[in-house]
Amino acid sequence: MERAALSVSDLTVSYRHKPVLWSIHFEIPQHCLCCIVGPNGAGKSTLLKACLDLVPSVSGEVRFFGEQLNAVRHKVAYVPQREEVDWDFPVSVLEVVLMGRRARLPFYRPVSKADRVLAEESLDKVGMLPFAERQIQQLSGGQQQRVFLARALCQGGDLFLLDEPFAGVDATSEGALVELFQLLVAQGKTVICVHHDLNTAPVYFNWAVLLNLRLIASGPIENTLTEETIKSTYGGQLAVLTQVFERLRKEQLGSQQDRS
Amino acid sequence: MEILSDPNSLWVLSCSILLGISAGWLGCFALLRKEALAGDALAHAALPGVTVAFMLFQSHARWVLLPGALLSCFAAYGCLLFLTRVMRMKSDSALAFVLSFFFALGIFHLTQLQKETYSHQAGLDKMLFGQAAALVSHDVLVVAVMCAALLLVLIVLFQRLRMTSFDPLFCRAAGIPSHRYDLLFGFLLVCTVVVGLDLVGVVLMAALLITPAAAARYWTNDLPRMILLSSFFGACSGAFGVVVSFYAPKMPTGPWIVVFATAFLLVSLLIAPERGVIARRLRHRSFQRKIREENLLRALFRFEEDGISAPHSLQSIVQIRPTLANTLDATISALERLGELTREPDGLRLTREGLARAERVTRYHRLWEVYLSRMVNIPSHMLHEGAENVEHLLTEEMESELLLEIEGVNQDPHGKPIPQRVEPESGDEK
Repeated sequence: MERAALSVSDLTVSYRHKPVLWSIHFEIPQHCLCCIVGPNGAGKSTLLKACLDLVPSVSGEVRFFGEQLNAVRHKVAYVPQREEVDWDFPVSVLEVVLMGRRARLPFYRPVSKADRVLAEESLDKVGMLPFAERQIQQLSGGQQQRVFLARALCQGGDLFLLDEPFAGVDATSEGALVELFQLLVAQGKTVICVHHDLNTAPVYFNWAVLLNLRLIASGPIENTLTEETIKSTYGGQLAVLTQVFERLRKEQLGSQQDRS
Repeated sequence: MEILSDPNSLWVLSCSILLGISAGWLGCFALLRKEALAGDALAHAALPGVTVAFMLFQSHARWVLLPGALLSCFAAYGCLLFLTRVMRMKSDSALAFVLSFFFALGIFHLTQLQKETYSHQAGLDKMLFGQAAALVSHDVLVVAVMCAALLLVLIVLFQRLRMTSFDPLFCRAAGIPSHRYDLLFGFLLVCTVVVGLDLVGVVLMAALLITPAAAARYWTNDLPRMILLSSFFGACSGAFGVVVSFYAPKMPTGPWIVVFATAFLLVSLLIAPERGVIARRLRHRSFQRKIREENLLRALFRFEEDGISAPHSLQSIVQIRPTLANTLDATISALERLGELTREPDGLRLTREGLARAERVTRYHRLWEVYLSRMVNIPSHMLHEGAENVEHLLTEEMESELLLEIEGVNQDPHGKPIPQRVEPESGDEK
């Protein structure tokens, strides 16, 4: 049997005294177009970051294609939220995309002609080739997102992890992005998006992970995105769990300080 | 020039140029990483290191003092990291605390030393504001080698520093240890600051890091070009400062370097294209002019629409557009030069070009009113004001998008027809 593109078991993450994810357990098979759905503050972005080791996790195991992240890092491309970076940074669109290639090279190696061609092809795929020489601060939200996606394409991975790719994006860009995701999946890639629009989720995606601090459901979208699961996903935060967790964290922190 | 014939001054001069280049370069990254103040705190933190090294070894040779400065800068950097990352102090508070604490420590030592009146202690207080003339050739060599090493590291690691400054999350996900580059950046910052102690001094070193970079940012949107400019500004300021201190040896060098760097910044603020004050003012003025022109054209268009035949008297225009009154004559002349209207004894008459432009502006106005009322649900009595400014801003591209959104509408919310986009063949019915 083919190995899951992403499998997560017993993942728990806390961030500054607050529980963010509580014992998460799911698998996403390859060739899926998967969305991670949940209300604000449900820990969707944190889930992606924890999988990629960008935030520390308290416990749990994450495997990509059955292996540790370090062994298959070249197969995984991450697209952070647009707001994470300063779009006033003096850099051109093509340079941002080329960063996808540079990340694959040792620091002393310059990019080759082939890398440049690849970067231009990626820009072409997202329809941004005419903007290659522009500065990034001139781009609209949707264009920024497409540039980020081009950078991920240029990395040449098999698994794409995208954090809120449709946030603040115009309708045209959203359509273009979805089309591209579907094309990628048809080519045998796997795409996982953090998504917050329940109306479009069943239209765009074929797999879903429902999340609200703990896992609500995961699986093919027609089985997982039901009225019942949506109700329990969006049915308010787990007040007691949050409180208990906060207590626990504070106590732990206190004992750590005592020891040191 | 006198300064060029003295080998020692020549050394000091080239040293200041090298320092200006590396500080200008590093300053660009400090600016983009929003760590401008870290340089200031670290520079102040060098002082206690210098004084302690002097007390321990009783020597003011640079190869004794600089390692001392390096060590205390690292201690300060470690404090900063500890306070912000482990203790979760806000970074501005942490910077303010570290800066003042270390500087106080240094000043405390310095006063102690002054009391004890060592014969060569005089060299130390020069470190506050820098004194290029006091440098001797083997000190200069230490400084020059460090500057060259700094530049080499910056050149080799340029791409990595740029990537990790722009998008650290992406870099870490791709396996580039961006926090290690943060540390490296801190290390480079410390080295630059320490190298600059002799020339600029601990108090003003941050200015040489940030001011040239801030000036360069006004000129360009391209990082390599920004670095070149910033290094150029830094090198010039450094060189000018040293020249001044050569002719007036009592003068501390640091303040002069800062004065020159600030001059570069002020000039950039004023005359830089696009971002400069003058360019912005000009843009604003020309937009105001455009608004006045288009308002006049629209007033004339309204007469045509109402069936009043040209020429139209100036009084009738001012009646419906009172804001035009003061500048009416200038606006008319401008439009005349554009060939959009003609002045006749009894008033004004639109030409064919003028009519076309008036129609376009009216179309934008009414399209925007329709859009506002349909898509944003603005009540109809507030529509006119909302459209009044936007009509001058819309472009043909935006018009096409608007037309897509409100297909098939040919009347504005007040029932007036929206002029069609096709250029009218028999537009002027005069």
